[in-house]
Amino acid sequence: MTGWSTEWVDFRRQARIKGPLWIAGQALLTLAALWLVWALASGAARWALDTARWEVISANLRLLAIGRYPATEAPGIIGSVLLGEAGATGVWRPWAALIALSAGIGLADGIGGRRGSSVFIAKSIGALLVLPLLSGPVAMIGPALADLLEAFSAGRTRFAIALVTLGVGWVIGSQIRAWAPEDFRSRRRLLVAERAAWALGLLAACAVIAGLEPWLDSVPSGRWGGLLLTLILAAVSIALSFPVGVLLALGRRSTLPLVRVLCVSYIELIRGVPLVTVLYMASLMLPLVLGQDIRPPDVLKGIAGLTAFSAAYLAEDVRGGLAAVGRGQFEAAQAVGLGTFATYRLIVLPQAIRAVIPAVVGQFISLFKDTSLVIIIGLRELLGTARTVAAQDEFIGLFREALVFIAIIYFVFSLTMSRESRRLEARLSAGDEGSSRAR
Amino acid sequence: MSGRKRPIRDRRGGLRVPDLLDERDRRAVVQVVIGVVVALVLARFFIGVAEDFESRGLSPGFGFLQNAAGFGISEARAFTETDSYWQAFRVGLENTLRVAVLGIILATPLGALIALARLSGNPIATRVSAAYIEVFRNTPLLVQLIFWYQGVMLRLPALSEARTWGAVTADADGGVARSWIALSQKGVALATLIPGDGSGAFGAAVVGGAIAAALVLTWRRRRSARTGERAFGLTFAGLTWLMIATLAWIAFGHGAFTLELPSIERFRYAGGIVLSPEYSALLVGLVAYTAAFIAEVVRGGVQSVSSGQYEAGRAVGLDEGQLLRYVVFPQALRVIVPPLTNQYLNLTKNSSLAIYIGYPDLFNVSLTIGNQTGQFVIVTAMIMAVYLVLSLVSSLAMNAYGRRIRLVER
Repeated sequence: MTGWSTEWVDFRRQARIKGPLWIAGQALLTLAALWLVWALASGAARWALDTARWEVISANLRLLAIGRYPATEAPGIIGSVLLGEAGATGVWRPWAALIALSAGIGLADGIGGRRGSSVFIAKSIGALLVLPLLSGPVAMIGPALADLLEAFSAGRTRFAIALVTLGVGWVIGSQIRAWAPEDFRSRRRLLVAERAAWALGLLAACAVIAGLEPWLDSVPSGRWGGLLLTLILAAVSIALSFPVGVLLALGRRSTLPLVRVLCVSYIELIRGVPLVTVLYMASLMLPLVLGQDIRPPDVLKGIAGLTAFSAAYLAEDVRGGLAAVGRGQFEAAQAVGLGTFATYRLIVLPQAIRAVIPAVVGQFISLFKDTSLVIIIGLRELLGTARTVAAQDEFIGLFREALVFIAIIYFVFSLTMSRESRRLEARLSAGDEGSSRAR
Repeated sequence: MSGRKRPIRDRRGGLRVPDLLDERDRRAVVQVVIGVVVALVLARFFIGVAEDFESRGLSPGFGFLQNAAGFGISEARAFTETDSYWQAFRVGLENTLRVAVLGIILATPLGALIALARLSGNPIATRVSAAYIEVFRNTPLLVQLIFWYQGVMLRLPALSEARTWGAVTADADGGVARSWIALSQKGVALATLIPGDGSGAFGAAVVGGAIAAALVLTWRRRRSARTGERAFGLTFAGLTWLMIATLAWIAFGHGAFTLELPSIERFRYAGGIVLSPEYSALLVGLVAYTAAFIAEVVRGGVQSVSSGQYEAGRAVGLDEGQLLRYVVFPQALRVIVPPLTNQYLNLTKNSSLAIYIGYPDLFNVSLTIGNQTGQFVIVTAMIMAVYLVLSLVSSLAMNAYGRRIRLVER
């Protein structure tokens, strides 16, 4: 921690100014805080190392990761790589999706000359590879916890493959970037290529998970579950609700009265009610709007509800950013002959969104956490799977272990997102006059 | 504004597009198209609802609310199966308010305390409160609630081995073991005051005393503003209130309240206030979660007061207490109150997660009503209406507050 030494200097300075009473108060506070830390940490450690029966997790890692995603036949070489020597059938598609995604993101980052997403994925996979190595030392203090760490070694080779693909993709991408000439047109092409690589990785992953009929049998969305479903729900809802939210925010500022009224009433209606009611409403309304014959899958209902909810909140965040863009920007854009659409796309929205990145990412984090509510419409995502796991005969009543485990997963993802947003914010404001003004 | 037949210029080369629509016509067309699309979707929805009603032989309207509910509610003082759906709905609303109001009352000081620890400058306390905030903010509330319920409340000792604090065994009571607080799987039981004969008069005197104290406070402040002497307003007001309350206690206090301690019977608590495990888990979960957000709000508010304000305050000779009371709090409050209200509203809305742990709040009861009657659409509309009214009221109050602090500003 870098803060400690400066804090100590500050502490001594304040102690000189404020006198013995203040020092006594601080000492008391320190003791109270230390006692609290000790009480909590020792209790938690005793539970995690002695009491908790982590075998409920180690036996159910796959269920928690992908739910009841089925085993399918793997084509030729993929089978032997992902499923071991004689593998032809097994659960290989989530692995293939992970690898495809890593390859795409590595390539995209390489082409774009960036590192952020690749480093994030490499770190996550690296952590999963390191976990089993820790089981040796941990075994001395808590055997059950060590077994849990050991259980992560089951996916070792496949995680390693994903890591290698990520690296290879990145190297290929950066070679392409190095080879491309340094002019404006090729810069644009690189940007397009970067986005294409992202899209390709995502599409390939989606196709592998959901199936692509003539070549890959489709897997019905009812079989998706666990962390996989949580991530799908979060990613799709984020991807959909952001543009909808921006449109709603623009609609709220529209000069067309009808558009404005519709957007305002939608935003205020959704923000006034709890998410469970929106989810419930979505699961109720969707079949009624689509008619009796079409039965939308539950995943779609969940995504619809989450998107409808999150978009309203995003709209309010973006509205704040739009309000922060000065009139001069509009006038300048008009002066150089940009139309309304181009003004918003090129001038106003980039500034508005940059101003509200923390709020928007905060909303994404909320959305990610809120995916846990979809059990109300019958989806078995992370929380739903944890519930299933604790209901198994041999592990009955071990709900605490399962809840703590998934809470850690949620925590790691949320914290990473907020850290990344802070970094992104810092990077974007680096060359900004605003940052120098604030200093 | 502009002439009706002004041609639209193409933006690239200044070429004229065919002069079919001018600005006003275009706006009208866009609005009509959007209006028609929205109307079509809504119409589709209502046709769907109508078909749904018809296929299940239901009649639209609120008449069903008068029918007997036929189900019991675990947390209702006076609700039986023969009561109507409407009464069940009201019980649900009461339960929601019960948890929301107490949750707000508890979460505010806890959040302020955490913020204070974070701002204390003490290296350990700062990190402890930061860790608290990160943990509670970065995990889903639902996971926390289920943990509080299934992982904590239901794991407590059985009723016969309930943990008690302040145990009392009085022979006059027939040797029944009572305690101030009891904690078990069956929930929490707390000591309570049972109002008796003079309680109404005493209560009235206390309220009257508070009004008198408020009058004294205004008088002292006016006087101080006129003469420039120190007001000692709170001291005077407090003494006034205390005096009236003491007199009232001497006059009516005897037998006005009896203290009732809970005791443990075979299958339930007897006496005292009993909080069910569901209610306790929901309350604790909501308070712990919301306090983390409130702490961040309070911290943001206090930090928004610039260091120049502190220096100026010290320069005019205010001591630390005065500095906080007259300089920091009034300015911080302006920043704190709007997001704080938002957090209160969030807590109220989040209490709808009660359904996952079986507490009969508004949403949970309404869903039961919907399942029994099939009137999902109307019931959902009713729930949404209640929550909308709640947020409307709070945003109106917020606007009123906003206007007030704007007047204070120079």
